[in-house]
Amino acid sequence: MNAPPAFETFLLFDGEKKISITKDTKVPNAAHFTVNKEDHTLGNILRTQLLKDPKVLFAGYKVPHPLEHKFILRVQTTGDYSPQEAFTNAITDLISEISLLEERFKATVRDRQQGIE
Amino acid sequence: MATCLAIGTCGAVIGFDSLRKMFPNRPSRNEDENELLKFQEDFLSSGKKPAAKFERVKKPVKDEQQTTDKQNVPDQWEEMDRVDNHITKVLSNIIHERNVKHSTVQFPKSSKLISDVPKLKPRTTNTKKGKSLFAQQFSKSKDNSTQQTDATQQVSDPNILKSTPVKIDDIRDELHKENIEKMNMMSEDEILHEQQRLKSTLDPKLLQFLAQRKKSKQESSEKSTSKNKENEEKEMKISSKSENSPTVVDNAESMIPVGVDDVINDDVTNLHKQYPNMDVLEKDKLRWMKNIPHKVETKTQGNGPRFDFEGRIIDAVSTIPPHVGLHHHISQPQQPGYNFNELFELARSQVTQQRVLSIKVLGRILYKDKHGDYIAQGYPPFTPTLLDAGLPFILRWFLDERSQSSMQASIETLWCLLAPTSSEKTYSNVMMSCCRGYETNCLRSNFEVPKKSDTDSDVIKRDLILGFLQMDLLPRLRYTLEVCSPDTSTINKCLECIERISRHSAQSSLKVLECPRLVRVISEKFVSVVTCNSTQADDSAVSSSVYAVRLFQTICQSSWENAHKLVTENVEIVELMHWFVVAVGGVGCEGSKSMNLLKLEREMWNIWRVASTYGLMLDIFMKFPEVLMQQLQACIQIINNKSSSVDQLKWCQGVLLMFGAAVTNLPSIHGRNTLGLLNRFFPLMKTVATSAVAGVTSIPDSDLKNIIGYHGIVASSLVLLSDWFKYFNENSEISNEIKNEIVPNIISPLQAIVLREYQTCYKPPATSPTIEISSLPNLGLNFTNEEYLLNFISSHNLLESYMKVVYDVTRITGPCQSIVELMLNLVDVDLNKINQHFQPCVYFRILPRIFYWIIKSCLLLLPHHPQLGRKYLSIHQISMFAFNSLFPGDEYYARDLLLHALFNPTLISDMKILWNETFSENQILTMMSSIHHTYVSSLTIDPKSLAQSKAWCCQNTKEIKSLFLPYDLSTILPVDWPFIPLLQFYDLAIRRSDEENALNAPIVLSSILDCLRFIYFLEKLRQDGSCKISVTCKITRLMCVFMSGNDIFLDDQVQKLLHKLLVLFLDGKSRSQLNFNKPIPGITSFYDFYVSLLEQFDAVSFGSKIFSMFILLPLVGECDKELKLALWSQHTEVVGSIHVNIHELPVAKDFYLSPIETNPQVLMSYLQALVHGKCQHVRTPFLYQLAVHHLSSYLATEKETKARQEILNKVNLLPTSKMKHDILHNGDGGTKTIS
Repeated sequence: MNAPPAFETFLLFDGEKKISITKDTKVPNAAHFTVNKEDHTLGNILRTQLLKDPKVLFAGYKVPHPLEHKFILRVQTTGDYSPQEAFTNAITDLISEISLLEERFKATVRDRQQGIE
Repeated sequence: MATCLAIGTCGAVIGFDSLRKMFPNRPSRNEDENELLKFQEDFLSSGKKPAAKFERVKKPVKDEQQTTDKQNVPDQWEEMDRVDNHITKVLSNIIHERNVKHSTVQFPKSSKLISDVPKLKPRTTNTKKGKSLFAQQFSKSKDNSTQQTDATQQVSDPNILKSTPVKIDDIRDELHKENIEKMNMMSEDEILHEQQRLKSTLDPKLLQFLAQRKKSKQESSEKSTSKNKENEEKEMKISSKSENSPTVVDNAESMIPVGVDDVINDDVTNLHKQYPNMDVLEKDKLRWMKNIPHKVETKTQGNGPRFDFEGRIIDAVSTIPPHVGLHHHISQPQQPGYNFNELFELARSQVTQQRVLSIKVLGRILYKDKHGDYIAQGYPPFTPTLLDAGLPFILRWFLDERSQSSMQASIETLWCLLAPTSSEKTYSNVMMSCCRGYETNCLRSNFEVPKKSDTDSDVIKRDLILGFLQMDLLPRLRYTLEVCSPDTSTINKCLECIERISRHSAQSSLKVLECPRLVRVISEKFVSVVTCNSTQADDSAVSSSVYAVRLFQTICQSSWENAHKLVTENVEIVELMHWFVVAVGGVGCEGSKSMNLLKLEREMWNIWRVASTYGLMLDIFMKFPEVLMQQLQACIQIINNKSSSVDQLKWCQGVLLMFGAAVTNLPSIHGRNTLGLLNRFFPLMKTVATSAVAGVTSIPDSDLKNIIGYHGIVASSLVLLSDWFKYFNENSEISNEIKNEIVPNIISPLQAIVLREYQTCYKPPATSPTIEISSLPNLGLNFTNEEYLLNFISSHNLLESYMKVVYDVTRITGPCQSIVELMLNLVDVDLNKINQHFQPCVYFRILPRIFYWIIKSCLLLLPHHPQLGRKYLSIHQISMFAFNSLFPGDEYYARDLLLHALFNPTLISDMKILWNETFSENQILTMMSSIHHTYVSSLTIDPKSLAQSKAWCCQNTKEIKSLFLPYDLSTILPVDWPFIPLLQFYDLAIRRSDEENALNAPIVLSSILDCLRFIYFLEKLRQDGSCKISVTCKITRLMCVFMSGNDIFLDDQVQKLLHKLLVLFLDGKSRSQLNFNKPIPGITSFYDFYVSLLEQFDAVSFGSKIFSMFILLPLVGECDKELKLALWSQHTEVVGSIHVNIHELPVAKDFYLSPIETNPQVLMSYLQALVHGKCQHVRTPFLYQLAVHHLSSYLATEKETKARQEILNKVNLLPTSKMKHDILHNGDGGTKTIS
């Protein structure tokens, strides 16, 4: 009855940013990325991708509350590398990886269909 | 015959002469049935009236009536004759014995009468007359010449049927002859047929026996006449059967096993020959005549322990002779005693006596169980079993029975169930005379009104008292008290039961009050009886009124409303109080009063004291000031008189306490102008106190009874003084008087005694085990030595009142050298010892208060006396102890300590030592006040209970709503209270969202810092304060810091403190102490907590080292595999962030490395973490070593198993690397290669 509307899970409010960055004051070379209207699907994949980067010392994410549709990603990197860079790199890598996946998937499906026909 | 005998017994009282007249032809035992019948016919036809009438005689109500009955005995007989006119009535009625309890029974003078009474002829001399009708007829027609020797005649015969052998001998001969004759007449076929029939019906064993017997007989006597074998066998059968009959019971086992039916058959076949109306036999009813079978050693003990009539457990091996009456006739007649099944079965019996007996035995069992008798013998408590079995219902049903005896038994058992243990009674009595002793523990804090859907048994299971209330116990008890007029002890027990019900809670007290006519009946019957009959009141009636007044006292304690209702609706109480104050008052000290009257008076003082705390009944004090003055003077006389008895001293104490109550409450109800009235008493109060002190200092130590008495007097007079001092401020007009009189005459002389008592006050009395029943809570008091309990409480009482007066004196007069010296002595106390002995038990209630008053005085003196300031450590420790151990009801004191003592900068001045390098003095002072603020704001005490406690502690008459302390036998604050702010922030954090938390993050951070600093301070410099909590408990609480915010643990200071604390906590701890699998107080599942901790680490830790250390701690040694798997297989990402090195660990690495892990699942998770690169040599050195160590050791030591092979295969499949090498070559540098 008083369930929140479903669009809240994916629709950004007016003026709401998708991603915001804050620098951590207590830990060197660390930053918090708050990603709105996303959940574990993206949080986990980003964290895993970040951890593959040898220059990333720490990457962890948290969904602060199940009814708040966002996650906060904490990233710490080595001195010669900024968290933002790590973050963008991770995103680019992920995009290419997923495009590759998509391409290969489509190719395979195509092959398969031709094979059957 | 039986009726004759019964008349005979009555005759013993009446006199034999009258009987002889009425029965000229009294039937004698020699007459046979024919004659008896003839006699009866004659009697009936003659129309004479029978000599005796049998009727139920109602129990005479009063003794006087009884004596008149006794004098008119002949009239009674005439009365009987007139009413009854048929003998059948005589036979059908039951004789009711006259109540001869109170009359002197004289044995009839024998000299003249004895010759008149027909002598009993021994039965063995009977020849012809004693024969049965059948036998006589038989003997008429037959010749009785045949003789046969009888072997069984020589057998000793203890049986009840003593005279039968002779007769049976004859009958047997006759039978024998008849048999032979009859057989002679029968044809061969007929005989064979008959033999077959017999054989088929008889027990084969019997046949075998008979055949054997025949053989032996043949050998011994060749000349036995017989026609053929069948014939003889038949003859033998019959003869042997008749031979056995008189003795068969005894010989049954020695001869042949015979079924019960046979035995009874044989045994009782002859009964009808001796007793009329016994020709139709009911075997079942005659089973009791059987002797009990020999004890058979049965291995199965059956249904639990067996009890005797006193409720003692009978061991299986004990031999108890059957005549003691413990061998019943149910399932195991060879075993003495009764088990629960049998008792419950008997409780349903139709026979009243059996029901009464069983219910009484159950009551005794309950009583013994309550006093821990069975637990001491190693049995489990029986009461829960009995309650589950439905005993409350049985008791309730029993109460409804009409018979007096079952009603009494039921009340007795109810009393056994409900009444407190004797220790609890002693405790309540002695506490009552303490300072603030009018407060008492109720036995349920919350009164759950039963729902409508609840059945009686549901309610009984939850709360017995509520169940009884629902089953209308109170109206029934009222009926019993009002109508049934039971004896005194039953009345008292009944009243005690009602008291127990009203002690349950204020609401159940109200139920007692509201029960129609219950309180009315009690106060009319048992309270007014004393005032009406003045001094001639019956002692037993007075004893009941003691219980009644005690019940009223409990009702008064329950709440202000109840007390008001009770006092206004029952003027008898006020009248009785008047009576005591005026009529007895001053002369009460003379020894003429009965014990019960003295007791009653004390109870009345108590009820008055209780009522006056609400401001009720105070006008008595205004009405009779002169009488009261006389009473105080009488007190002085008694105290000065060295030969005063203990009871007199108690009386004095009662008077003093009453005065104390008046002094406290009078001005707040009747205005400050009453102070003038009270001021008139002040000189007398001083004199009482002075003489009491003089008395106590002069009595020898050995006189323990008197010591307790005098201690009470001194304590009460001190309480009286301190109640009076309440009205004076610092440097008021009274201060000179105090300085010159009170201090030298009262405070100083008592010092030695107080110090002596103070040194031993913490040793608790030895307790025996008690039972805990969830549905019937008690105070758990059961002492082996109640005398010691008395001593213990009275010495605490003395100390408390002394310390209170010392505080008041210091407050009014300002610092005084002798008190400073006293305090210096008092603060030097071995708290370790006290901590060892202290338990959160009700009898330790006063101890923390003693320390509270010491602290209060010290705080007053501290600014003026630097030598006391040097003892800051002891004072702070004492205040910590007092704070830790105060009980519910003293919340006000606890708050006072929290505000003024615990964080007093002087008392915690050694905190500077810890941080003097990093902070300046001013900073440390701010830190202290910040710590203080943190704790004051987080240790909130429920405002309602705080307000009530304040009313009690300050004795604010109008604010006291109830004197029932909550039923909570633990201290106010949990032992881990220093950690409470951490837990609160944790609670807040897991409820709040991230942003809200971030808003007040600085406050949270500073509070957590304060809390950690204080814990560190306690741990470092006050070790005894928090030593009662286990390491795991402390560490778990510290872990809350990580959960209470996302970046709090990243703060530098927090990290440092956490590390210091961790090192302190773990210092010298063994691995077994670090077992997180044991239940940790405050946490239901450590696993769940650990998982959320891991998630937090994963999300926000930034690989913090201190966080990693806490994460690793629970994995020490033989921890649960679930915890290891939580880290290694469910949260493998966490593994990659734990960068701790071996040398950074707070514990020895052996804690982790041994014993070797053998669980394949855990090992597999290690291997997977290694293979997937989560656990790398460079980034996570310690975990890498841990995993490699366990894997290689496992592979090296484990025998060839499937699991090992599987792991080995997987390792072998790895590409060549350092890791593979480390695993296979025993990573720690070992050289052994694993194949």
